[in-house]
Amino acid sequence: MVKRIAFINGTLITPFREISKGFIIIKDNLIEKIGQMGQLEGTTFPENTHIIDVNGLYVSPGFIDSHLHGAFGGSAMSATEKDLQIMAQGLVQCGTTSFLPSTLSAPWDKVTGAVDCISGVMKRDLQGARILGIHLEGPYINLEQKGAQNPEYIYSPAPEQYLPLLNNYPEIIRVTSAPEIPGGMELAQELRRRKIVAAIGHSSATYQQVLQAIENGYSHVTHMFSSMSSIKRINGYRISGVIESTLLLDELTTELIADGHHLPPSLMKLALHCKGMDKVCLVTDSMAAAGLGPGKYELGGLEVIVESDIPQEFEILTQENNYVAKLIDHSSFASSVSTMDKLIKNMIRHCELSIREAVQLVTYNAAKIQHLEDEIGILAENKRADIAVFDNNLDIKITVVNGSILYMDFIY
Amino acid sequence: MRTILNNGIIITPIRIIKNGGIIIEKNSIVNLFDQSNDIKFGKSDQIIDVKGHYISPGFIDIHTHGGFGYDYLDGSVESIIKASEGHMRYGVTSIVPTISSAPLEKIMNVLDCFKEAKLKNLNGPNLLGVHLEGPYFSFEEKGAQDPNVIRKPVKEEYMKILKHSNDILRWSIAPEIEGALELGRILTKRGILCSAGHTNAFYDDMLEAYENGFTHITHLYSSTSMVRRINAFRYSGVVESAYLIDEITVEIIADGKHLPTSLLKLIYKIKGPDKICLITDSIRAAGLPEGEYIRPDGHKFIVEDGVAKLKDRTSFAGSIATANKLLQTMMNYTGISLQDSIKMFTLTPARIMKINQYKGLLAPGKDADIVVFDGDLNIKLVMVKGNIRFYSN
Repeated sequence: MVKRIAFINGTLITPFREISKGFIIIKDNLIEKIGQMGQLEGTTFPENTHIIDVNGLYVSPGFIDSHLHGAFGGSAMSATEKDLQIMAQGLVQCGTTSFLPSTLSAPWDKVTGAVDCISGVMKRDLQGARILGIHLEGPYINLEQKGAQNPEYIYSPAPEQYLPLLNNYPEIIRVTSAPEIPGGMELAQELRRRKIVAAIGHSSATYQQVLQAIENGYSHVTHMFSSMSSIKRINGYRISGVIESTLLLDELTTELIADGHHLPPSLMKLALHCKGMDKVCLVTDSMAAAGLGPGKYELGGLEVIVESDIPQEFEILTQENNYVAKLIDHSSFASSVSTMDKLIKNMIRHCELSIREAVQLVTYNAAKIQHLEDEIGILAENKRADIAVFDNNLDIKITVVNGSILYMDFIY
Repeated sequence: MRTILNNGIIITPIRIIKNGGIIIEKNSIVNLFDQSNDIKFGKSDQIIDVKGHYISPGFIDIHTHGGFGYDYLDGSVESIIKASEGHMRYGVTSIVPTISSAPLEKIMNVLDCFKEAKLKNLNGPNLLGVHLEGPYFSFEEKGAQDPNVIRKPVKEEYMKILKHSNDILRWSIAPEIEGALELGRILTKRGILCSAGHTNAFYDDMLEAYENGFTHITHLYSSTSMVRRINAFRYSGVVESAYLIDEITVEIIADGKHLPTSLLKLIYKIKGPDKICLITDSIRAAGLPEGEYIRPDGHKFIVEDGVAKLKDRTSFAGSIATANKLLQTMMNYTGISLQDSIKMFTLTPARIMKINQYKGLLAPGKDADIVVFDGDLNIKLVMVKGNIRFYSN
């Protein structure tokens, strides 16, 4: 028997427009219809429709996190189904309906083990947010821009190493690498042939190298401002780096770790100002401690500390329960411990975005960057029914994944 | 007697008039015309056929230290006049002589020289007023400024300077140093353009600086702070602030050396032609051959590859560009239109210096400060307030 869910009296964020007093009907795993309540007058819902009056709450596409390493104690590198299950179940409580588990620079058998586990899990049904595919972040990055990647396991890309991996695991849909290292351009050509998103990251590329990178297939820039080159002086002359190139070149999309620690509002605003509202998405880049409390954790074999300490001078003053992971010597951030709902809140609170704009960054834009906008990221007929329902304060009330309600705030 | 420049491509610069002409009487522009207007020339009219060349407002350089062997800090009337006349031959009709960080007596002396130079300036461009670049700067961002004279603003000292001269038009100061904001307010009250330069400010400092009158940024990217990391946290600097505070105007050394194409494009993309002006920031060696030179403060520098460098070649020591070089850079390397490039060297600096009522635009009633040049930016004719001061075949 056909089952339907109808959310009525919601404020729909499609995310291109807001429909106040709207409804949305889900049939199986797809969106069947959206519209204004007025259109429903004189009609009745078919039998077996589960009608939920959301009473003014926001209803938007589910959030898409295209870059995270772990959350709620689970880690993508653990190569266990249990960890992925923990992540999927935790994320769904934050409005995230799909994500790309991301690997880190590690011994090659550990990377392949993690990839193998994730691809296996993808063939079964996880209870929680859906895995869209795998994101390889490293090991093909520049040692100069290692950030919190383990320097022992950073290599130049060699086809004899990556080709078997790409052949065996079509679930890999995004790779972050440094175009300027030996083999970095050839890697992008291979990725382009396979329609895998090639992202510039942990890179010291110059402007000229970024232009070449675009020609070779790089289309995205991983965590803007983090672990990438800026202007260098060589005998007085200024050489633009990845930051300036990303701000200038319309061909590149990018992502912001909007956790309130990695970037001050001025830099997030600058990225939006230069790139426009269509070419930026938000990512958590979170590690296993996301959603948990402060303390000591491990990331890709490196010890990290999770704490909330923000200096007085920082543009955002200390917020309670807003943590970040740092390398043990405090020299660098080591992933965020944030969740999607918090990122959206940060953009609204610190960058003066409207709720609609902030939601666009984590839905349509994220889908578009991954070439999945035909399927997810928009509330429209025949799109997949991945939906988040939340209040003004971004408290998630209901999350629907693939047509099933997987989370409902018990208070609601 | 009227002078008529006929048969040119006029860049006003808010529009382009093909096959156009300009009627000039005494010091001012009477009218613009094109072929559709039925213009009758009188017998006494001096008609100049510019043969299809471009006609634009004369260039306005609001930041130059000299050229052609002279530095404005030399402390002589002759230097001021000669350097300015030299730049005029490259299309500059209005100039803001700029003096670097110096001891008080030297500043006073140059201001006296400037007063006299204005009276004796019969064949040069308009000498608009003086730009004091320093000495109230940040040590961290001193660039090629003399570190021995860089200091905090002392009210007694700057009030003395302000009382001594009415010719100060702009002052570059690091807003984050102690006492700078008070000076900013005082300058603003007097109508003097207050500019953030040689500054290590944070974003928050820049917001406060803007509120206190710092509406312009001196040579963006040169001696201005950028994002810094402190214990992993990122702090935006002057460059990011310039991009985020829409109202703030900037100037760029478009000599093709100080800023690469990518940065020229990025600044243009974000700030647009109404917020950017081109400057030469040229020094004594502009217009002279490459080699070794001595600055007014005694330091040696070298000129090679079309730019001046400190002797150890670690940093630039100013540009040797002439005005036309800036426009050549914009045209040949950035893809920015000639019209917008001209705007950034005429109307925008006029607006920033608050002289746009008279200058920066070819329109009836404006001063007849006009330059004629060919497609390669070779200067053919320079007119200052209706007088032809330079002419070349």
